[in-house]
Amino acid sequence: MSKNQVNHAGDNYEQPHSVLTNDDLLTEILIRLPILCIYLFTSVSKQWRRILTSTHFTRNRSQINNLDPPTGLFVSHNIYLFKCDFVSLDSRIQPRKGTVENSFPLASTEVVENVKIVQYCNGLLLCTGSGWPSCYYVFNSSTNLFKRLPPPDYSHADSPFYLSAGLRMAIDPTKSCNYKVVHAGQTSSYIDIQTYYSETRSWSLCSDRMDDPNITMEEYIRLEEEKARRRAIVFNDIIASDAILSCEPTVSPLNDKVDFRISFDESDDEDYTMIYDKNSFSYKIIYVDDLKTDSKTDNDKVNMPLFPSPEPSVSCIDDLDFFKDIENEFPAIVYNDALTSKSDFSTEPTLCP
Amino acid sequence: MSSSSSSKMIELRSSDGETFHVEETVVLQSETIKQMIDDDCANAAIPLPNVTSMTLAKVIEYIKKHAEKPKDDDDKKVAEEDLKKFDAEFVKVDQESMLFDLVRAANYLNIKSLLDLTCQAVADSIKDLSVEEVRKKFNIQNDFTPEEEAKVRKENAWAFD
Repeated sequence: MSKNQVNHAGDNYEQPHSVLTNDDLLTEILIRLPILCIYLFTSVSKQWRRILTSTHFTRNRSQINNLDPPTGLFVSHNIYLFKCDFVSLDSRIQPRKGTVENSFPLASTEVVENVKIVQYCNGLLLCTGSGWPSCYYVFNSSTNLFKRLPPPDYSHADSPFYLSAGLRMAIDPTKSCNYKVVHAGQTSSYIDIQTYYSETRSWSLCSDRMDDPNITMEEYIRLEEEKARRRAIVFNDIIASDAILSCEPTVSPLNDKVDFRISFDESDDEDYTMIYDKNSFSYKIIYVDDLKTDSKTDNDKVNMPLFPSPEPSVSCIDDLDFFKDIENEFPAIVYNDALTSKSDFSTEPTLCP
Repeated sequence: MSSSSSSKMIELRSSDGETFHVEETVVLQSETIKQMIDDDCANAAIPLPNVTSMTLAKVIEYIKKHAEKPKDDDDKKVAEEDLKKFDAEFVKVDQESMLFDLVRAANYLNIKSLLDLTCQAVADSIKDLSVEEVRKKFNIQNDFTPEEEAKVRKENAWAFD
């Protein structure tokens, strides 16, 4: 049947094979391409663009394992200094030595020192610089650019002892190229939660705060510490959840990558290695000792959540429509945080080598 | 279904009229044919109007190989390696159109592992190509206007570096 079309003699242009004109079959092929091709090939034709940028495609693609193996390692020797060598595991990608220094000019007048990694999340690193009040930075590993976040809003604090108690970032590039940073601030009597939206570049205070005026700060910290250990305060797998987007209780494996834990334990200063997957922009910190003994399974670990099975107990995501807007606005779901940079970093100071 | 030890033979007829006799246990890998047998539609030769004899012969070669059962655990490892080698060789076809024919046949016959294998082979064949090379290879007409194409490329400009 369609064979006749395929070998139509005399045409300057042979028709594409019927497989290629069939959206379902073409999807089956394209879904198996490495991530870079997904972007490159959007300009092949309108059909390809339609398929490659559909939400359905991205979601199904994320179900396929081992499409984007790790391409290299970020190796650092001190967790307090953000100075990493990039060790390539893929011969096509150049290794880099110390591309990111622990001291870097953010703008002509500002130098940030002793950058510390707080968290990694799907290609973005959340960092703090030394000094008070703390400044928070988001580092886009694919563009090598830093962005300084505006400070959280301290004005509402009714106590001079308002401290940062925890910081977590969430981005799910399959849903949106916008990220969120959740900040927990504490006074002697309560902890409140603020969320930074990269889209609006502003913090918004959660209306719920954890009041308990009857306990002392020490008790509170101890309590929170305990909770953190038990991983009871986990904030917030809702951020990237399908449930919000589709109003259906579906489970996505990406959900558990997004987590938030109020942590008071900063004593981790062992040598560590970060496994970095340039294609899927996922990271995993592993300790050097683990690497030595267990290097064989590292590949499998890359996409594993640091804190498995979080049970969300706090939520301050109040504007659910926000997520729907993202979905409408970005039907081309973004895997690569480099795209993030367009909206988030373009007008920001850049890191000059 | 037959309960005898020797497996029942199923007759398949390709689009160009050639018939193939395949053991039922082998052919059950095709969900489509399994359904036909379950529905008792397989008493006569099963017509496969979408599959040429050349393609069908390849498909049968594949499902026969994948139907082989290892005897014990030691054998299992060897067999797995063997199967991997077989799969790798299987998709090395002379004609690209054969690969596409296999994709279509795997889809029509609903043989998941064969669809996975062949689609991956096609994907592998284009993953290092440029956009222009992909169009040329697959005879795809660029249906963007120059402005549209420039816009799409700009959106993904970082990927072209």
